[in-house]
Amino acid sequence: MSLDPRLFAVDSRFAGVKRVIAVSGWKGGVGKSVVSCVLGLQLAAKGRRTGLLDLDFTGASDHIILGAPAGFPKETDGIEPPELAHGLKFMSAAYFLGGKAVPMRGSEAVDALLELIAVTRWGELDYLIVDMPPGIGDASLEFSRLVKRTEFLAVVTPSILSASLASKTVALFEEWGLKLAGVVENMAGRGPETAALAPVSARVGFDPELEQALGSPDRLLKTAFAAQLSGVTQILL
Amino acid sequence: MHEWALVDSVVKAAASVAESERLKTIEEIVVVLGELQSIDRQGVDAIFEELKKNAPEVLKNSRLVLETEKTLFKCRACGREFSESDAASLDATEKEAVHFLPEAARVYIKCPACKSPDFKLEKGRGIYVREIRGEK
Repeated sequence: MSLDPRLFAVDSRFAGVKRVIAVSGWKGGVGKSVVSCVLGLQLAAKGRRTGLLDLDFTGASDHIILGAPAGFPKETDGIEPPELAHGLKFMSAAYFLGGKAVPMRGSEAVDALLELIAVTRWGELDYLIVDMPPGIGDASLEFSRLVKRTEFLAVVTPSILSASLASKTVALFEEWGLKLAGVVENMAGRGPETAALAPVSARVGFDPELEQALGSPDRLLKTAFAAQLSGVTQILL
Repeated sequence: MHEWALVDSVVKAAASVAESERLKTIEEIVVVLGELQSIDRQGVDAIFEELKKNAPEVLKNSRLVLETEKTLFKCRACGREFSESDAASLDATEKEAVHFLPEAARVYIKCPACKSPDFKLEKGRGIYVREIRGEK
């Protein structure tokens, strides 16, 4: 026998979480990490108990976007996700990687994913936002398998490259019975509308101020990007 | 300590196996602790005794048997097999990072022969259940 006990803890670790929203771009570079962070901050700022889990291990950036302090999270009867602005609970592999790049194959990303979800104590949450890795590879599939009630929020850009991949993936997910919570078109206005994925929940234009707001949750919440994304936050409330 | 969550997983796994195998009692749970994760054995024992108090009846008289598995890496680039001590001497912070998340070893350990960070962790990563002994 070689039994992985962590698999048996997943349900109880998510038992206090009402909704799990996986922010997925499938294509890299569409802005899903910034969408995940700002969405998490907006929900938390509206008084909803919110967590954010960065599962993009090899491209982790949510800690930079949110300006999360370095240092290991507190240990209790597991690992406590540190609370950031507005009480947003945040967990990322970045806490353990010392600011360095980590090479990881699919099976190793699955192991890291399982470790994080088996030991992280989210407690009671209204929303857990999950910043998913690009693609529908091992880690994404494993998360969907383990947390079956996950709803997907698709992030696309107005490009045939992003939209065609997203529409194929959404069709696959619908056939599979996975729920689509909404669609965000990021960098809207810089190309044709992504009609293939209508209805779009929010169209967010390119915001030249966004780069300057990275690292500061309060400044992020005041950007035009955040204002335009609030359409998505509203449909989740 | 975060071992609590790992031992809690073991208890849940054993209870699930007892149910699926229709065991009346579980006498022993043999748990393997991978050397890489530096799991506190005494802590694991103490947590197990604490968790047993609220565990299903089938686990009330269970004993935990802990085994340690040495770490063995195999480099995917040059094929060299190596141990943690062959490859690196981690400082306390690095060890703590690997304790929380064993995949962090990929940041701090390289193949001693070719310096590649692309290696397979063949043995000794973390915790798993090797055997559950009980009666039907």
